[in-house]
Amino acid sequence: MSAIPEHEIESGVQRHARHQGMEAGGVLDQVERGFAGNPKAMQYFYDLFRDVYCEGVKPHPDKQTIGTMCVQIPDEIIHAAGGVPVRMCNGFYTDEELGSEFMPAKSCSLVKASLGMLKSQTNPYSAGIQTIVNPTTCDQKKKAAGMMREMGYDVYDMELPPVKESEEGREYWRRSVRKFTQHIGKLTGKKVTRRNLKQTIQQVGRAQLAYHRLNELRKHTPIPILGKDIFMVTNAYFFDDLARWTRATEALCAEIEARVAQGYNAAGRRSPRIVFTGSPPVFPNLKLPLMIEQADGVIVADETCSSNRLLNDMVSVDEWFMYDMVDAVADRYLKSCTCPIFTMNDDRIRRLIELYRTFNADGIIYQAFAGCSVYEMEQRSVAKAMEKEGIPMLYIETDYSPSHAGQLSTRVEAFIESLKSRRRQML
Amino acid sequence: MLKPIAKILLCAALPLTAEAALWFSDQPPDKRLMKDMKRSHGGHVFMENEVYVKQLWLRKGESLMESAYAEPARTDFKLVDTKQVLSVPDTLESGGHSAIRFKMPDEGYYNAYYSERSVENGVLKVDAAKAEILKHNCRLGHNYDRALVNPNRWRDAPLDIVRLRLPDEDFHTRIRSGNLLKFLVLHQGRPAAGAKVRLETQKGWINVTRTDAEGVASFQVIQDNFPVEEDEAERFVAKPAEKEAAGAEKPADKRAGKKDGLQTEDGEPSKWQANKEAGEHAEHKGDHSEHKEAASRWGGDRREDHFLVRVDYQTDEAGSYQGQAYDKIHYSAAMTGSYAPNVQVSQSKSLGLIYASAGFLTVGVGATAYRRRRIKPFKEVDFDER
Amino acid sequence: MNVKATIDRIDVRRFRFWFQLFAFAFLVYGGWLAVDLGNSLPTFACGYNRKGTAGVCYLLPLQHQLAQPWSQLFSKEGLAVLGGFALFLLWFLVLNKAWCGFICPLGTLQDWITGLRKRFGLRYSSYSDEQFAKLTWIKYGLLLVVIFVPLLIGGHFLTHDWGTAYCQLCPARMIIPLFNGDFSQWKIDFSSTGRMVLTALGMFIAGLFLAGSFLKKRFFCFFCPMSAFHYIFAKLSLFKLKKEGSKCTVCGDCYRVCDLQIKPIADDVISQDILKDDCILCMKCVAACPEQGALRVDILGKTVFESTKDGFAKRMGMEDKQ
Repeated sequence: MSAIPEHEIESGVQRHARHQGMEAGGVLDQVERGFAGNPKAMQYFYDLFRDVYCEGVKPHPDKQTIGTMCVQIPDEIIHAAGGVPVRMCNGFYTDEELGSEFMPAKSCSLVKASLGMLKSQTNPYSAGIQTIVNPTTCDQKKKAAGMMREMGYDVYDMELPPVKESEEGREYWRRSVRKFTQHIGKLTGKKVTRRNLKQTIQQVGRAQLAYHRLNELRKHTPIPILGKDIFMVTNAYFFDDLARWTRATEALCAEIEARVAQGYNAAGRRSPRIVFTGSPPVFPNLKLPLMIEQADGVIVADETCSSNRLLNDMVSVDEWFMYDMVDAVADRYLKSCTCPIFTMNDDRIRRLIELYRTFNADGIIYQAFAGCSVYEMEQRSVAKAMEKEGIPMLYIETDYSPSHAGQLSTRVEAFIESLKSRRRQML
Repeated sequence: MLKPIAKILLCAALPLTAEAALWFSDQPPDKRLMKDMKRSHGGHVFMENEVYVKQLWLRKGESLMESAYAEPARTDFKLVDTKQVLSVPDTLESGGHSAIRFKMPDEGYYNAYYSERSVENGVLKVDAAKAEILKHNCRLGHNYDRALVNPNRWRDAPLDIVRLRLPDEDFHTRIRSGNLLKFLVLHQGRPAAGAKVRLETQKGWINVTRTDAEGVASFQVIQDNFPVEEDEAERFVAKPAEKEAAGAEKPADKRAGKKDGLQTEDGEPSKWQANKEAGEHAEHKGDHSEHKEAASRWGGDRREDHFLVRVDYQTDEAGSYQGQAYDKIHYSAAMTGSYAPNVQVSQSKSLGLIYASAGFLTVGVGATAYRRRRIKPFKEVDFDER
Repeated sequence: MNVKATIDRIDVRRFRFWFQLFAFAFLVYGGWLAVDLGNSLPTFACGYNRKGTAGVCYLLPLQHQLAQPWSQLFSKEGLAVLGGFALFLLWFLVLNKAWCGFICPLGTLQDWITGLRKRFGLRYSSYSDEQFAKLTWIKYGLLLVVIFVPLLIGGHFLTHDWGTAYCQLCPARMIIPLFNGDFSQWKIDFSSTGRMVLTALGMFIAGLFLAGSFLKKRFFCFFCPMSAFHYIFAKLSLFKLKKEGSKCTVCGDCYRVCDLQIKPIADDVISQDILKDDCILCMKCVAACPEQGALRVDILGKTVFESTKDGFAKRMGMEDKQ
């Protein structure tokens, strides 16, 4: 009897993981090889994504990971409780297809993709993620909580007020964060204490400073680094080890600083400088950023919750005690947040104008995922404000599907050409 | 114009009782003058081109209460200024009586002296009056030379009473009931031992002592000036029996009373007693209406009562004065001062601490209760049904 | 590293601690060294601290002067009031409200009491927006007491028992002399109704002060009539707290460190001159601002201290410690 070679029948989960890997690999190839002159220090990030999404390497094998659904979930507190926050916001088209059974057809790709990933059990970050912290931000995230519970996850609803300007809203959110601080300690078995919270506030602060240092370098003309790389760096913050990420980003900063000193130009000679805003580009859905930079534009700044909003605002503590530190952490995530779920969006408009000015930009590209109603609804007021300021803005409604790519790129190219001619006219 | 001359003549001619003292007063005989005066640290003053000008009138009598404005028999006035320079002050008629007037440009004490002499039963009587007036204006700051607080000296004064300063005395210090007052009596610049010193308060309390070998006599100031409210005045403030008729609210009446007073009840034809009512009114603050005014203007513990200190000293010197021979000289000198109630008697530290503790506890307990209540998970909205 | 960057990195907390300690010692004990800065200081150098004080809080002489009889006050003599006021204004304009945040002995004392609370690890109290809006008027009420009670005395509507009414209420009268071992102000004075009411209230307020400043940062400053008086002239000062609204992300870091809970410091993105009536110019907000150049302190139009990312990171201990 000859030995029959053992055949392994690919399970659904394995197949899904393979498809994910293929999607991720494709985008990584584009990011890495589609552009010349990648900074050497970026290799860490490319490798990290390849390891996690294509090779199945779990970044935190021996730590309890806590899934977070939005930018408002306080990292500092999860770290202090000995957990690792990993952002569950997902950018895979593969997952979106799987998740579309939960949501109506015209709903946000990001939420569908996140649900799909959770459903498929192909979590790239950790084998046994059980707890998901879900803030009451947009309607789709809110309703997703019930569905995640149905899938068997332990979902913690973190209540976020719809108004951030009021004292009531602030107090409401602080209470949410205080409650969460106690809850998370029980969950991980490590109480959040004064000492370790101070430490993690400072650690996260250090990471933010590294990001700020990098971001500041983007103010230079010529631009020393492309926007797609920045999105890779900030996307890595979603799941990477905090200290390792900080070191890698600092190394990147050092390299970019050297580039600035040399007057290195990462983009074309006349590439228009773009501020990116709206629905967050989450790896591997870097479709629009890549399209912009392939069309000779360069993203010099962004206002999205997967990048700038994730790391921009810092915790300031007056008295290093639990009572003040927890409130300070809470304030960081509420008061300055420019998420469109809040009633007012003046802060977001002001931020865009300030970014446009300080980063010496030529125009703004506003991405809204079809079904991401809050960004869609804010488009009108933002467009009006930008028009008043005389800032060119392109509004693009899209989703994770690879179709319409041709049509989209035509619009992007046309916009970039118009920015170039506008600049020529102004000279 | 005859009037003052007549007064002087009368004054000089009339026999004086042994107890009668002579002193300076800064209370004007005519209350209307007060309108032009400003209250300062050294009592009421006139202002002349931003310079304080003091006016003093002579008073004479057995006590602060039994006294009247007097006309000087001589013009032997002396002034020692803050720099110890001797001069003669201007005399003038003011408010119906003779007065001296001098400017006080510098910070510190100004001393005024006056003396009269007469021979009686072979004894030369030298009656001296003294006033010590402070000039201090807070606007000029408080960086003054501390030596200015010390008393001035005039070595040639026949008999001088020097109030020795209280410990740590400055221009703002008030003499208060309970303070130990010390007087140095100097006879021709040298301490006079064994002189009789009599201190009398405006309420009539009298204490008599003699100077020690150093010429110093001391008194602890009596508490007879209780700081009370207007409505309480009736109960607490002495209202001397002989006062009620005085009234003397209107200066016009006083003038009228003066004429009548030429013959007083007891028939003593004393010119200076004739002015008694008017004088008492001005000086004596124990009077109900006066007190009311004082209390309402200056507040309880600011109210000051006056005291009169008088020294008698006799030496066996023989000689003759204006043709009259004598074999003894009897010196007397008097000056007034003022004292305020002792503030400590109307203060309570323990009650102060109770109030402070109440404040402390209000916040402490209030905040603690509030914090405890906040820890409760949910607070119902409370509707007002009205 | 240039001078400006060094200053922007300064540890304001420590700098203020030492500066305040020095100012406290100077004002409370300077009198023993014959220091006399006059009677017009725009800060609580309490005149009741008789021997030790190196100058006198302007509210004391102001109340004295305004209590003159009207005939004097509204005559040529009344001009002297203007002289004292001019000196007060001169002192004030130099430092603006930094008198409160850096010099005021009573303010410093409150900061020390806050330090004591921190030793116990107790959280501070804060007012809600509504409470804040109501309580903020108290200081103007007290300013009216400072000005109108003496005027009523001068007009003979009130007795001198009500003289220096505000001083009788002010906790500095009781507390500052304690530092020279003088306990004499801790009392109720029964000599008249006026004194009794004022001293009893004063003692109560002293108690409130001690407990209040333990629980609430700069408890009394919120009610301080000097602060209200300052604010009237604050716009004239050469010393300014400025905000660049466009650089502000409204993160509220400045608001949350503010001892006086001044909300507009975070929320107002339009005003340039951001100094508010409750402000004590302690510069904690500038130190706590992570945005480059969003908040700054200008003297004579020249920026002396500015919020920087670098300075923020240093103060928060977020710099790489390698």
